[in-house]
Amino acid sequence: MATQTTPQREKFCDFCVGAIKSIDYKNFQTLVRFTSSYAKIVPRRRSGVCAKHQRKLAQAIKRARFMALLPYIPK
Amino acid sequence: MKHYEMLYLVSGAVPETEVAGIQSEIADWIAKAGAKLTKQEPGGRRKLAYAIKNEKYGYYTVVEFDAEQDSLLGLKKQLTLAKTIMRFLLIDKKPMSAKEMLLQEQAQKRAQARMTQQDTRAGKGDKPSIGSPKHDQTSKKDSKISLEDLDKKLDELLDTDIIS
Repeated sequence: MATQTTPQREKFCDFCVGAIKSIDYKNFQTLVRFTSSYAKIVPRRRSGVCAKHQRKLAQAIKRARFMALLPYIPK
Repeated sequence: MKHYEMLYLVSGAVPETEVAGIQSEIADWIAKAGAKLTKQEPGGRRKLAYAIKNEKYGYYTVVEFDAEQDSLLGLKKQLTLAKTIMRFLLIDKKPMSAKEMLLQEQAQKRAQARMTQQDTRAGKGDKPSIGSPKHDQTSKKDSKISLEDLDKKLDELLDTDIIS
């Protein structure tokens, strides 16, 4: 028996739509949108970011964490 | 020659008057490494996302320069040994042309506006549901007016976004 799932919103890559080529690690207000409440990087299946931008995003988040712009763990 | 960008973090324990001195000292180190400084942008005092060596605040500075790969070893060593500098991040960056920079800036602004719009929409969608029981208790007229106002505000917001 197939279970009925709730209708999902159509997902799209925020960076592709905005035509953003490079993701800046210093722009942490944007990066924080792609981290969970546990300060983990949100997976692609949830955020809808494309593979190319997810790689850049992960790199940027890790750089921002090193420079104490973003936390490694929640307070 | 490669184009580099460096972000460094000066300890918050350093008094604000001495920060400018440290920044010029680092600019000297960069010049001594045979690099050409193209940009220096002090980011000011900020609260850190986590404490580094029991220090909760720091001064961020961004510098961009063109340098040979081999000449940076000395600079890296100097920066790691300096006690006032808590962290630094040196990355090579593709130099962008003025047109590319303008396009990127516009794209970033558009993206930011879209994201904030999404947030406000979500926020507005939530607010009535939280406050709705109270409205029902007071009067039905008030809730009708507030809904109309909300619609008007939403229309205004949408119009302004299209123009910008």
